[in-house]
Amino acid sequence: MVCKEWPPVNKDEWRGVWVFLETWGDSIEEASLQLLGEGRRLADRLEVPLTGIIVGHDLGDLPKEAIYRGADQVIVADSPDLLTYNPQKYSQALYKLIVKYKPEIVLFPGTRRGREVASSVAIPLRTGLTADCTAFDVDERGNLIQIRPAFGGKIFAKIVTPDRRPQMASVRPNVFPTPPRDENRSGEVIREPVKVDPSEVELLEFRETSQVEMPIDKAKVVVAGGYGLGIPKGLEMLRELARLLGGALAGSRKIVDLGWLPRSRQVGQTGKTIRPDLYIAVGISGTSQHMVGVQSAKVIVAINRDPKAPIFESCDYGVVADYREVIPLLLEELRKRLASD
Amino acid sequence: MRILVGIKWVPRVDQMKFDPVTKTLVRVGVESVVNPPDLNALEMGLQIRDKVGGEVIAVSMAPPVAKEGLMEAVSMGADRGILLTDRRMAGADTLATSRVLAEAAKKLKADLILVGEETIDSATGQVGPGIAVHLGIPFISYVHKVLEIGDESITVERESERGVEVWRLGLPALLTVVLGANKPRRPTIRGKIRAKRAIDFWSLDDLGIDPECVGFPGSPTRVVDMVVVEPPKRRGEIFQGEAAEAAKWLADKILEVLKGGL
Repeated sequence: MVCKEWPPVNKDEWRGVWVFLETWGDSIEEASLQLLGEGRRLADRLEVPLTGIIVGHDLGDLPKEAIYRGADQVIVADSPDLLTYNPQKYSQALYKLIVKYKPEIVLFPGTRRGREVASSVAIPLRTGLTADCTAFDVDERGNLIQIRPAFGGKIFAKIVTPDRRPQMASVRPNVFPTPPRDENRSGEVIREPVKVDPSEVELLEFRETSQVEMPIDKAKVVVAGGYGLGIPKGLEMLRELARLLGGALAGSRKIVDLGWLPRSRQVGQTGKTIRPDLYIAVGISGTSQHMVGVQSAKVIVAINRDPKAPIFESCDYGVVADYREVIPLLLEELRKRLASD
Repeated sequence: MRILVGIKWVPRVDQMKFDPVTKTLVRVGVESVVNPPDLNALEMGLQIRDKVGGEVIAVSMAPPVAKEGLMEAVSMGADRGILLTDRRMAGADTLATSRVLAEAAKKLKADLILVGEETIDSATGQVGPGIAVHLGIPFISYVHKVLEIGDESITVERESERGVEVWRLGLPALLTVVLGANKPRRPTIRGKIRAKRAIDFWSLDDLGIDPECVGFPGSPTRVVDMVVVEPPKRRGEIFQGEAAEAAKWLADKILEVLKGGL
């Protein structure tokens, strides 16, 4: 017995991998480009085409960027009503194209807009949507295995959508690396005019945030503080270290909850996932919720007074010491050596 | 104005321990709490009610034990609570959960629905938008502030990755509220006394939904396995000793990384 509200699905009719591409101005968001890399891998594995899907209007050469990053083709859901983002209109446009083309997999960037569109589209399709996947695989029947952290990253769940199509999943920024850009790649750009209903939600104003400090998900070096700092003023030393190394300052959930840093600087399960070359964690105990956000860092350095802190089990270099003693000396040492280079 | 606030009674995941022998999560002795951003949604709802009048109803879909979470909401100021509880609702994923909550909102003729941005145990952020889409009403996620509320519309502010956005939604509408959007008020003694008799229980029959469309049968996703993914092995070189020596050692390592040597 199946819920009568669910539209029937013949799985054999659903074929191909789609990536929903989020655009801002004249570029495709990094998180969407990263999905083209993983989407390419899945499409090759399933021996199906990879399609980038863009909702918008008047996009110029933008769709070609998705081809350069690995897509076989790009479909543009096009209407003057889709010039700026609107969750109702964008979801409706995407829904119409999914029903028309029947892809077996649709991947979404786990950004605010990406999550809104994904959540909306899954409902009329009556299909499964798995949030914040960190890895994918394919089972023997060709189902997508979606792997995501559960219970704060202490364990991972393998989730499938066995009977419904498309299989939908979202992935946070920086879980996968950005694929290289290759202008020699070619592929078709299909323009699909779509009609969307007027929406009951309207964007009245947009104020772009000026990026005075470097965002933590773009920095090569991230210096992060935790509750072990003891006082908010402890962050000043870390800020100095970040500045010296040309990096960004971040924090654990605990200190963000306390208001020591804005939420945009939080690393971990409820914050951001980052993949810097160097992550320096100071006064951070290293809970699974935190570490899940820095798993892809190339090198992790930990400074903590407590030799039993779990972070010492998942770092490359650790120093058991009071940061108030070590960091000033480290700053001095680094300044000296950077000056002599 | 009738305001519905979604409340989830969740285990403190930070207290859960992983048992490496049985490869399961140990839940014994783990406390439950109201999902933190749900308290911000509740506070937002209470402030709107206090300004324009009406009532705030806290709603959960959960086993009977979740009554505690609804009682907490009432003790903080919600007018009443409704627990949607039925064995047939068990095993629901986000589609089936939002289907049930949407039906309750419809039955209650809600003008405004507020839910937390996501839960600490499942962390999908999908149930709120799902409720709105089932009902065919507009929604916006990650709201931190209400700028204006009238009979026909609500204007709100939210932050996206690139900046601050101001959205106007026609009512009825749904908002998901970010953690830290406001400072939730504390429960009062009077509220706690009132809470004992302010919770109703609704079953699937009260809602009139086909059992095939809720719970496990109404969920398109299946959890096929729970696995421990070992984090990538790291060098694990630990320096214990004098601070000046530690600083020198660390400076060596940091500079090597920056030069691309490690």
